[in-house]
Amino acid sequence: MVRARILLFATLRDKYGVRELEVKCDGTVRNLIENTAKAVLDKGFLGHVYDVGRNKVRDDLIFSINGRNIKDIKEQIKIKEGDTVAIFPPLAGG
Amino acid sequence: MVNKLERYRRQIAIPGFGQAGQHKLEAAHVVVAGMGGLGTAASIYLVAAGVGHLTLIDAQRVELSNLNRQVLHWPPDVKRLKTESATEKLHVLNPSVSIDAKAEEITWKNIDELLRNADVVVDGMDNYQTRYLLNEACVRIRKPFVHGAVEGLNGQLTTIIPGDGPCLRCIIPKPPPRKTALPVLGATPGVIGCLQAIETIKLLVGIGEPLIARMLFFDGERTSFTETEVHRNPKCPICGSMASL
Repeated sequence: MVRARILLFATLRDKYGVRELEVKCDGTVRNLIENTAKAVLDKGFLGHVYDVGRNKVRDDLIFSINGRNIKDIKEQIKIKEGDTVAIFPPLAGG
Repeated sequence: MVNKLERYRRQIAIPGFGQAGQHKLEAAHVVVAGMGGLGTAASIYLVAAGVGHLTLIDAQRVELSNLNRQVLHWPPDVKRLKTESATEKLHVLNPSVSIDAKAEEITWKNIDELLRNADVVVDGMDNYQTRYLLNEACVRIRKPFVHGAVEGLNGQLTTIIPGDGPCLRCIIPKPPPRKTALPVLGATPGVIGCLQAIETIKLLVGIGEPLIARMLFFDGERTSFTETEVHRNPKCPICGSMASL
């Protein structure tokens, strides 16, 4: 198991009431999100962030690992000890 | 001419800007799409800086609940067209700027004509449907697009140069769920709109490093900025087939 730092922004932070937390996971993104859902005591977090049917992070979110957008990471993604994961729900207002 | 130089003296003094930079601004045409919180904040600084020509697009009329953030609209302007209300004040701020007010909805039918003469397009929209329309048109006709969005005390910003860095659909392939009457502190679009004006002026003058391939997030709750790298998606339905610059 590895420990990662999770940062929630904007409406995600408002909804789940947490700005930053440390979460253990088996190195997969899905497990990281599942364990974050347990940490924020809300199962709905998984579906809010992860497209379970397509087994990937939802397309309407920006999910960055150490400052890199997960959509741009071509290599096999493995969460490592001390990684920082930031999740940004895109904003719409103007 | 002397007065003109005096008016812009403090920005002309910026290293790399100079009188040549001021002439570039005077010759430039910026389209501000949306005269809400972002568009009003951005256009104030574009006009104050002496951008020669602005096109302001917005079909809506001013409502009382707009006034906490749409700083060019004042109580006597309620029910007036936003483009009229904004043009009037911007003209007083800098009479040498030519302003073209378009009280129209942006659609696929009129977008090419609206953007045709733009050197830069500023995103002041409040929905992804129109943002995607602007993004697609800017990619197709090769116009720089300065994206901004806000909610509550949060903002986001990126500069899109078609062919050089990702487009909006590379970064956000699907729109977030549509919500109406989003909460927003007025100063939040003020922050992001001012940053959009800075990005636009940098592009026009050719100074600094634009926010290309980077998405900047403003967290007003903690007063912090975070950025993440964003890259082109070779399979993007909008810009994927475009050659890199």
